[in-house]
Amino acid sequence: MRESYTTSASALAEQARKVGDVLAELRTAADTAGSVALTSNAFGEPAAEAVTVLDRLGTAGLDTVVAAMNSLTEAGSRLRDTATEYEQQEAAGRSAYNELAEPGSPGLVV
Amino acid sequence: MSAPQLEAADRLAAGVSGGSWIAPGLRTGVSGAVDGKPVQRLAAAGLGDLVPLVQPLQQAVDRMVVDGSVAAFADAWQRAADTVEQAGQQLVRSARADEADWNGAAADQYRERARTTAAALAGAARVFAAKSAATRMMGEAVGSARTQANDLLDRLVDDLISYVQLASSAAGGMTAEVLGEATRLVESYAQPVAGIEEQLRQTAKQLAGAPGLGPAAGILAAVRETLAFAPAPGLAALPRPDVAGGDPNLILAGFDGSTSAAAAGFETVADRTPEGGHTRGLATADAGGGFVLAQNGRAGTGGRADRARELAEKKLGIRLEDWDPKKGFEHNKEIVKKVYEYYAGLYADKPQLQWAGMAKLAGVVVYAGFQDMQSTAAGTYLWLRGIDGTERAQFETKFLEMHQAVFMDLAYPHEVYRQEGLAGIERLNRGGELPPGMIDSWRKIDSGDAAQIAAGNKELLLREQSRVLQPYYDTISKMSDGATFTSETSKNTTSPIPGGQPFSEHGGNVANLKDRWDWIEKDMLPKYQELLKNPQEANRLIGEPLEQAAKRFQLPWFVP
Repeated sequence: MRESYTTSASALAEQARKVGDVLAELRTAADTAGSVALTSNAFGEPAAEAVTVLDRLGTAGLDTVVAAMNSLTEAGSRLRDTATEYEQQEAAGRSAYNELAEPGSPGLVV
Repeated sequence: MSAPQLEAADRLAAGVSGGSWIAPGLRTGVSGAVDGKPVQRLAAAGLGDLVPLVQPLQQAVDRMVVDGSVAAFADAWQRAADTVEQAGQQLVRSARADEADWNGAAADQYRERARTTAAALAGAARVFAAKSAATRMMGEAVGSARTQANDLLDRLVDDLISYVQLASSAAGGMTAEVLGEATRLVESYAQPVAGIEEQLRQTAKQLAGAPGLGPAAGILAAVRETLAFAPAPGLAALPRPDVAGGDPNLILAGFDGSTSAAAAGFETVADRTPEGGHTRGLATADAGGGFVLAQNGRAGTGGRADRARELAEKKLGIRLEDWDPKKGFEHNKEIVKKVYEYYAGLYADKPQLQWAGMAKLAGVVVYAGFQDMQSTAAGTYLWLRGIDGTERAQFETKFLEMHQAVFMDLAYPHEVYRQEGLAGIERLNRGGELPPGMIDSWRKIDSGDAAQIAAGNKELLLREQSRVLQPYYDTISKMSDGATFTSETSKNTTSPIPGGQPFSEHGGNVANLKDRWDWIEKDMLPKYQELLKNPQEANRLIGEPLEQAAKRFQLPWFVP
């Protein structure tokens, strides 16, 4: 059974572009967080353990931002791939339709 | 990220800002500037002889310092928290914006994925904000401790000057009795100063537990798990529209993201275009001609591939100019053997490197296949199916490129792990030399837990299959007569694991990631894990010389 859906290459390409914008935001966050580090004596000798805790969590935090960037990169890539496929289909559909359809008929509906 | 996990992030933030992890005596918020050293006033008052008595207390105060990195760290993580939270909200808004132009199952899945990602980002943002707050509060606690201790020291010095001057005047000088009393006075202050210092130690310790930042690492791990994508499009089957002439929805099918493929190590833009400025490890030859991993040095745009090339050259003794897949198997034969024997050596040194052991076993089958391809019988067989000598050489080149690509992607981290353990892998990760997402796999491999070790190695295998090899299979499939060649390969691919099912019995096409991974996951991996339960047999098989082992896998009618 055919599922009901609507799409266009331009809608997908626009989504991919927006994902790219979000990715850029995360890149900023990663750059911000990655540019700082606590010195080993940041809290003095009695509280040195705090540096270890925060430093370890800093690494985990950066790992997490990177994971988010990977996720969005993959999402953007899939959107772009999908948009490309639709473009190809639309082009093929238009070509086929031009040969068969009456002038003035609606374009390809998928 | 589930609602309870987001709640956990909120609880973490509330717990940290509540400040119950800070020792009560340091929650005063009283923190003022400390000017000069009280001990110096003793000398100015002509009581320099008492300085050694008071100096330990002054040193205790001096140890309680907060440097400039604290404020910078707290500010940066608060900004990162704000940015990450906003990024998540922006993602959801964007996904909702075009609902009229894009709807259907794939669109619904994409939007659900966007919502999940945003929730995960919100969770991460709250942890980052909590970390920022904890940093600031820890700094304030140290400041409070320093102020209190310094105030005590100030009072002590006042009391000492007052008492000693008065007592010395009455006794006619600094008698033993006066000195003894001064010593007792110092000791009476030493105890509360030590108490403040101990409260600081306890506070730092409690920061690591609940209600400090203890749960934070777990929450971030859950966030990363949520953010992990399915390893590749097509692995997650979805009902899809009947789209003629292509299948874009299949590309989007992976948005359900249900598999545990943080693991597949998806690359970031940064990863694809490595930037200078990262500290990268340098591989250098040691005096004995071995391979030593140095931890310093900066590289420009070389990155992982450069490290892998150095490994090949210096550890395996491969002349890089000779390693040219375009020159065919006979030319590269010794290199292929060296690489597979190298994998066997990795496993022999560190049995937790299960991927390497399997790579050697699979290498035996691949090597046998290369040998088969050289035979006249194979040439005739393929020619009868329309594959001529030129095409056969092109396919052979592709498989040699795949063999090389796997080494370039996975060998160097293995060598680092062999030499330095997880610390080396963490260093690679910090320096941007590990594919993003792979650090968790290596942590599992290093965990000492059998199930985790197997899981980590499986993730490396998934990366190899989906990220490294699949693009080559896709290319082969599109080459002239590629479909015929992959079909023939599918018929003749055998399992490298004893008792394993041939690919043909499993069905499908070996060039198709879904078919291949199903076979690996359902047959090859379980049987490999069974084999590893018998270390003696596993060592024997993995350590068996390649040429000797390959004879068992050559197709009888192709053996010259």
